[in-house]
Amino acid sequence: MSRSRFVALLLLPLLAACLPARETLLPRLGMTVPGLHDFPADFRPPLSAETGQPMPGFGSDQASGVYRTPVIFVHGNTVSARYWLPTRDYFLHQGYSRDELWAFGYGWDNVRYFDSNELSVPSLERSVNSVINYLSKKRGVPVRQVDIVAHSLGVTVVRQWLKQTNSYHRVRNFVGIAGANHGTWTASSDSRGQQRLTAWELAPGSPWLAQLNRGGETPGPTRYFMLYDGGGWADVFYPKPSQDSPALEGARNLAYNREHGAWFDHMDLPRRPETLQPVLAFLSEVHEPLPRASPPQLLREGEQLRSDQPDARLYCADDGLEPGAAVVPAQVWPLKPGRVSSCYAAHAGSGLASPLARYAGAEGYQPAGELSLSASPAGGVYEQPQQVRLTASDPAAFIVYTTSGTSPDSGSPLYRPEHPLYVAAPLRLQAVAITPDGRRSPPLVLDYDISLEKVEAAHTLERQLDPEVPEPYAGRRKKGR
Amino acid sequence: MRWLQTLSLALGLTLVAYPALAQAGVLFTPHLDEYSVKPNGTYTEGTLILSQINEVFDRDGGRVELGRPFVPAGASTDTALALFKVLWVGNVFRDTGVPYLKDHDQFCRLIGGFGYQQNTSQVAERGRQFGAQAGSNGLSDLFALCGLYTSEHRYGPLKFNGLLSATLKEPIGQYDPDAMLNVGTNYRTITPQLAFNANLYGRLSIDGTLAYQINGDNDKPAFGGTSPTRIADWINAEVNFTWKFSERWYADLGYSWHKSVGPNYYDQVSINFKDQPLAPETLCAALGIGSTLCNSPLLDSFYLQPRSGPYQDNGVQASLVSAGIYYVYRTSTVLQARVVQPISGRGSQIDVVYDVCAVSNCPGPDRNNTGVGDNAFAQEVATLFGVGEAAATSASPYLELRFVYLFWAP
Repeated sequence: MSRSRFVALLLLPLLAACLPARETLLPRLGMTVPGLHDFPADFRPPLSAETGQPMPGFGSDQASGVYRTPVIFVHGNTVSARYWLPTRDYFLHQGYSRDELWAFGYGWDNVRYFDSNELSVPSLERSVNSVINYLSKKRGVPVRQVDIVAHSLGVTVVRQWLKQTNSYHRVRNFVGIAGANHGTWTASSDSRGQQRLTAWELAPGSPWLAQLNRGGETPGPTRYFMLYDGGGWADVFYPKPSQDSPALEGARNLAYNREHGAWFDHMDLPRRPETLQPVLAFLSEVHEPLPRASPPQLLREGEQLRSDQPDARLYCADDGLEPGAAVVPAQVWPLKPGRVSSCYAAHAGSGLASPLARYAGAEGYQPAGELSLSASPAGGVYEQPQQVRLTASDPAAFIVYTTSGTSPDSGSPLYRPEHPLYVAAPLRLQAVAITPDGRRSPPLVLDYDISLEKVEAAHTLERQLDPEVPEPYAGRRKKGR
Repeated sequence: MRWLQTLSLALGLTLVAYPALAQAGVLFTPHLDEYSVKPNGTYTEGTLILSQINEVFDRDGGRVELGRPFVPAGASTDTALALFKVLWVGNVFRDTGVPYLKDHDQFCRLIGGFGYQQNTSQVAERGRQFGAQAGSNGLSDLFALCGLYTSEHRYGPLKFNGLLSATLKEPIGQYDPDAMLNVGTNYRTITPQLAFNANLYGRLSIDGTLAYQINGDNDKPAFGGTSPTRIADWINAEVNFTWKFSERWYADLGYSWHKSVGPNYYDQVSINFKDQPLAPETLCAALGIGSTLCNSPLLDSFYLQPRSGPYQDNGVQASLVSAGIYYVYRTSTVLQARVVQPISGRGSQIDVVYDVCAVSNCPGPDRNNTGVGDNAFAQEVATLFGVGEAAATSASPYLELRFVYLFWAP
């Protein structure tokens, strides 16, 4: 046997082993795909809304305890929780315990199927709930807040989750690293195929981003810290002139490379000691919430709002603006006729806040019969994104909605008639109208199925030759493309 | 025997094979150069290489025009090679307990292709005198490589990673031992390779590689045994500098070099005129056969018979520079045009001994080049160019058009 033939024989098995994707091959053989499952035995990781599988990741252990607000790391597109392992090591080295550091792989972990913001929100909701529930049970007192450190797509996923699930009061600090808060060129309108949903969402100037940023970019009691390149060269997702796309108005923004003369790229930024040092400093700036304190609640007394805790303050804004830490706090907030106020109460001493809630001024209000809500176009299967208009039978009512699968409350995103709702993914839209006197319409629940699978099914070669051929589409939605 | 040299000049221009060790370049954005660590997934690439070869390097490094002076100027061998590449990047050992491999992605690549090559008419006509066809089309050899990325390191504005791989060439390509031109090579190679990618200031990418190509033997050498049977190993090296003007426009400059380690050997030389005996009055003047032989009153025709060898050359070597531009389209496609210009080289040449006889099959028992055969009355020595990828070194530029497509774009 010649030496080249011998080496060839050695190489061929390796080639054969590598070419089929492991994630595809092993399940067909009845074998479990190895994954990162660094969780304690009594913790059951939640299911990913996209893959339907338990989310891989890490968090907690049997020995350590919760001494600080737990940190949940949210990864970006095409990677998974293991992306955060170097970051976890840094935090552990800085004194965090394993109980305080969590990450979940919510998506496909491959360029084969892209993750999208809308489709990842339910997984994040499950992740946060599972961490809070597990640690509350373990600690014996409620864990009410988490800190979140997110990267890239994870940044906009978190912001959409905060908005859709009205979870601002549950997040003490939010650190967003290199997120496409104002779009990225790679999601431009000529992007195609598997990244279609993400491209619709994150294209610069997209209606989805406008929807996300409308009313204020840093709402709620959450503290925001955005860290990014800023130089325009190191992070290829944000070249000039979009180098400040990740910055948020009202947040603490750090264009790290620009300000420090560094060259950390997109994947480096959340994993380097140099950049994690200011992240850690930001997380440590505020004191820990009092463990046995209760969050303040909003109370409506006639045409005024106040908190049930005298020392708490109200943070309010009118007409679709979202209140944030920058607004002037008040003890009492008067409701104005014909206007919608968005408010939350925060207690500086306990470090806790109420959920965001909305109220309409009721002075002079005359109920207009039975309250109902309608949408146009109706739910259904569409190839392209839809601009959905919601109409309440009572024009004095305001409309709130969710696209995350959760039921809307008054603090859910506010629908504005001048800005139709942009639906660009297979999702469930739930909306409710609320009158100034607090009556609620029956919930409107509509399923919109917008996916590449639908497009592919509609345009098969067979159907192009013979349009009468039935469309082979059963609403799979599975890949979220 | 310049008439044989003339022939072999044409044969020396066989397809400039483009092995797996292709010159590096931007695969697609973001930040994904040839040897950089890439997101897990599958990538595809098509490359079209066009060349009109009208010069080759001789064994002294000189440039020799195709067929001159026996073929009018303008003769060439035209070649086109379409390569199709599939690249898989992932980690088979991810989240397992396998040390090192679990933290370093692996990759595998398959490269197949289709080649077309055709000689211009004068060269083709010369070839026909030796029973050769004028062109060759068909599948090329198959390349398969696997490897892994090393860790990424950063030193200020410099980011760096390495890559280890081994490429196997399986000789499945079109190959006819009697043909003048072949797309395939008929010998297997295995090429361990070290490579690196460095990125400086987010704008300058440097890809470099060093490889040792172990060449197997060719038991059926092409066209009268003028392609080597025992092929020397090669050392390959290249470096490529890519400058990013914007997210969509790039340009690069490259340099590549290869050199054989030791000589090639030719054991089965049999190249000869198809129609014999040869008439002196039709061949002597045109082809420069010695006057003593041509003026001999004893012969009105004669036969030639080569001695099969072994012969050896001085090895081959080539240096090339390249320049190209890239346009990134829709974040999933890279269009590239690149010109490659040989700047120096050395081709394979051997001195073949021919017995001149009055009868066919004349060489007698002495087949060791130690003297005139029993039935031969003279000997001539012809300096022949080696043919095929292992021996011929083109001195002509070629154009490379590259189309990189990512099924699943970021």
